[in-house]
Amino acid sequence: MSDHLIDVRNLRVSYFQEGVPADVVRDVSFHIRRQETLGLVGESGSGKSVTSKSIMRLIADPPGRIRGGSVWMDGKDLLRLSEGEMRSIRGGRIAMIFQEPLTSLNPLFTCGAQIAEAVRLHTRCTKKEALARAAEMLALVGVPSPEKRVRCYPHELSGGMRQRVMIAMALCCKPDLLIADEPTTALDPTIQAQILKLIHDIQRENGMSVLLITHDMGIVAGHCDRVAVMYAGQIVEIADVRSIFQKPAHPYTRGLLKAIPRLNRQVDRLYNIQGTVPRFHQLPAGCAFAPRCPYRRPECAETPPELRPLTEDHSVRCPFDMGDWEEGL
Amino acid sequence: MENLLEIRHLQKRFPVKAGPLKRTVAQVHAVEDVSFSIGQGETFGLVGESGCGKTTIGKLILQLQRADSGEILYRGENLNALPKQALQRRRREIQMVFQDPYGSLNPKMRVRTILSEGIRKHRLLPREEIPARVAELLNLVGLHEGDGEKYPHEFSGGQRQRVVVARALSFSPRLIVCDEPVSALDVSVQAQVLNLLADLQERLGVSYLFIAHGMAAVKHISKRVGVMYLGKLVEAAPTESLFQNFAHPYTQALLSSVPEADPLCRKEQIILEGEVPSPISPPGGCRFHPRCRYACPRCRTEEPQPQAWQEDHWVACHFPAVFRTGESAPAQ
Amino acid sequence: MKTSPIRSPLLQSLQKLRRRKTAFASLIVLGIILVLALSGSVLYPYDPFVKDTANRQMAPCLLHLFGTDNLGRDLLARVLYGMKISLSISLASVLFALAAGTALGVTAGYAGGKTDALLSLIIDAICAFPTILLGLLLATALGSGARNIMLAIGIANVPYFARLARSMAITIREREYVESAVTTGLNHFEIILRYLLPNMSSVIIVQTSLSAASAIITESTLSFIGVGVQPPAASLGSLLRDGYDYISRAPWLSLFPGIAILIAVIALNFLGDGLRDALDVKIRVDG
Repeated sequence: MSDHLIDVRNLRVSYFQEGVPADVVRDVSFHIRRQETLGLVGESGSGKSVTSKSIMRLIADPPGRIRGGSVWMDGKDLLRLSEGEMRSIRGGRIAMIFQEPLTSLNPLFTCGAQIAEAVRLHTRCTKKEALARAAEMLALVGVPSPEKRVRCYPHELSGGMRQRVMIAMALCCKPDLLIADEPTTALDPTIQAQILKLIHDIQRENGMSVLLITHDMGIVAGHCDRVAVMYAGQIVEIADVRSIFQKPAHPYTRGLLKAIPRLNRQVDRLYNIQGTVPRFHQLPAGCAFAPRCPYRRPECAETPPELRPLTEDHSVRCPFDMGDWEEGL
Repeated sequence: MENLLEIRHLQKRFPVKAGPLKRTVAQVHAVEDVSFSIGQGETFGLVGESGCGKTTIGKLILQLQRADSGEILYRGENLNALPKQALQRRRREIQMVFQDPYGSLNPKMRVRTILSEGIRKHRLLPREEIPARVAELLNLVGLHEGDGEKYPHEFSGGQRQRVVVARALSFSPRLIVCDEPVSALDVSVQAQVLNLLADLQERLGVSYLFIAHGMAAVKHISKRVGVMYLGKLVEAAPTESLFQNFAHPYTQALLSSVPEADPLCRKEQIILEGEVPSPISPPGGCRFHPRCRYACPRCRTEEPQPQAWQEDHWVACHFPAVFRTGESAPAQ
Repeated sequence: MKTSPIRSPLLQSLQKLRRRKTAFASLIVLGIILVLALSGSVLYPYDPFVKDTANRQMAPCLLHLFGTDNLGRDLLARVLYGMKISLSISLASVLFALAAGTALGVTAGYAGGKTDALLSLIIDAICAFPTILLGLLLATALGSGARNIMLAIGIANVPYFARLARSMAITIREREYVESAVTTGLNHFEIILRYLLPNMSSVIIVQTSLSAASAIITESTLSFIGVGVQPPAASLGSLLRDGYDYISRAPWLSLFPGIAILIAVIALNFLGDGLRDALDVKIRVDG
């Protein structure tokens, strides 16, 4: 058995607007190893959330549609499973938490009931056992006085507590993969630190893999083993976390790292990436980043670059090497 | 007179109403006894978590809400006590930039109308000079003259924030309150807007009150920084001093919770216990004591007053920099 | 970069509407109805009031496409005339409701507090009266006739617009662009006129077309039970009523006015639905 838990190959997802398709995920391939955290970074519209939802087959059709590719897990292609088989995988082997826990929880049921329901969907047990398990789970995710909190409704909890409830729900069946879609973006910095530590601790105990979707390079640096950088629906660079930060090979990754203000570095002027993220229905013909790239060459606007390996664990969607860039400056 | 804006003992509470008779059952202590000042052409950064009152301070300065007590001295005049007409005149000198560039522009107006509205309202320029001024404003924020004909939805988030900045500038303000101006923007665009704000300050000498929860951005742009917790200013100092020599345990925790974009420096994080308490019934004594690892009995009962810990470095803590001395707080 | 000409939101919405087939077809149908009804005897040779006792209750034929009524008047001419009256009544009443309701609602929502409480009470009080009852009451008090049922339907429709405008005003009032208008130094009137109303216009327009449809039905009902338009004037409702007496002998007398009501109401409803989609904020694709 390989050490790959999930293999996403050539994923292609389109969204239809007034009948016109826009490719929001274009030829995305990556794998997630067992027990590792893969970071999926990108800005709004980079396709990172759509990619993660495609793994769970949660793309609403219409307006979206998975139009090609495969997602392999234990020799099975998740995209070709029946809806019933898929349901047992969702929440069973793959669980997901979202950015805004308030909208992902049902406001009409207590937190305990919702966790218990998730437990009973995937394990055979009585209602009482499930509720007891729910309290257990809440204790596990660090909710104080869990016996009391199982009877709370979502709106009675703070944002951080709600995210803990979501995590408890996601973890109750010991999934192999946890997809966390911007799990801390809506939270305050000190609460964000709590939640990220919680996910990290649970990952180590349960040996699960995490797909962490974020736009925050700081979170990536602190919590991921490998990183895939997405831009305009494509992976532009994928590597282990150290390579990304120390030897970024794509102009976009480089620019992004220079553009963010940091606490441990004082500069007079931040680096500017020119222009804005392209919209999906007017993508450039060649390299999607070319119009904003300070190193662009005439050929960049014509031929879309392929993802090419630099080292065993580092690939980049740019045909030029670092040295070439400096010449081009 | 060097201080453009001086805030003294500002206080604002919001009533919490409940029941069929809408009786006031409690009060949200949004801003309690906050004092700081902003110099001419200077940026003052205000950081803190949600519910700490930093946005309310911005609204009080803009007079979108009236303070319960305290003074907002703008060039020596107390805005809280100004009659309505004089206030309208002053108002155009203090402008704002909001967090959400989607929500802060009227979607039914062309950009040129948005930019000229204030000029026309206050008759800042003769009618025939307005188009030239609009073009100038657009150039100033890095947009094209032709963009004036567009509607807000035709711009990307970053461009919209430029329009918002241009609108603020149309009044030739001296102070701009920026409430989370970049947190809704894409990472690669945030730098553009931060640079723009810095450039404009250099060229026009405008002052900023920069309200944000992103510590790194605040550090980058501000000359002085204040840290708020539950309606109180717990620490205020020149940027360098605050980030190097922070003395309040909350500032320490807040700074350590910011993930550093460097995988080699996996610094030790101080994870605060518990939640931010509700500002409806803030804890007595020092408001931070329930989450403070250095809290001692005195912190529970006696409220610390802001004290000058170092030159120009104010801290509201009984045991400033207790974590640096390496010993636990006295009298445990 | 392509440079597209900058179109106003109104033009963009109209273009979107064109792409929705049912809504656009409804718009055309309504246009035709309106032209026919307003042109009256210019396009169609028969006068709706001239009696021809020799040709009473003629079945539809080439000479009289819809047949004639029991006084020998051409039914098509009468349906077109009735359509004109029905449409004018419903349009006038909806415009009244639009103006009064929006003003009430915006004031209540924007002012808030005690003003809101008082105005909301008034709105709720109006709402408590069923439209038919209100029509009957007004008819008894002021007498039957087109003007009075216009008023009745108008008043009955005020709460719909008022509630809509109030909730929209409350939402928009909290928007940051309104706060920025305050710091600009605009007064309340300017803010309502330039910030609140334009941003609720799409919702109000949709409500207008839906209300117009229901107003036609209400008008027909009132005229059918006899408190509406009085003879010799006629509306679709009173035509239906006139024909109802002869339903077994001359079914076309009630059939054609009925179909006319149906078409007008369906067209207005489809148009409303289409407008709702066309004026709506576009769906965003988010990564």
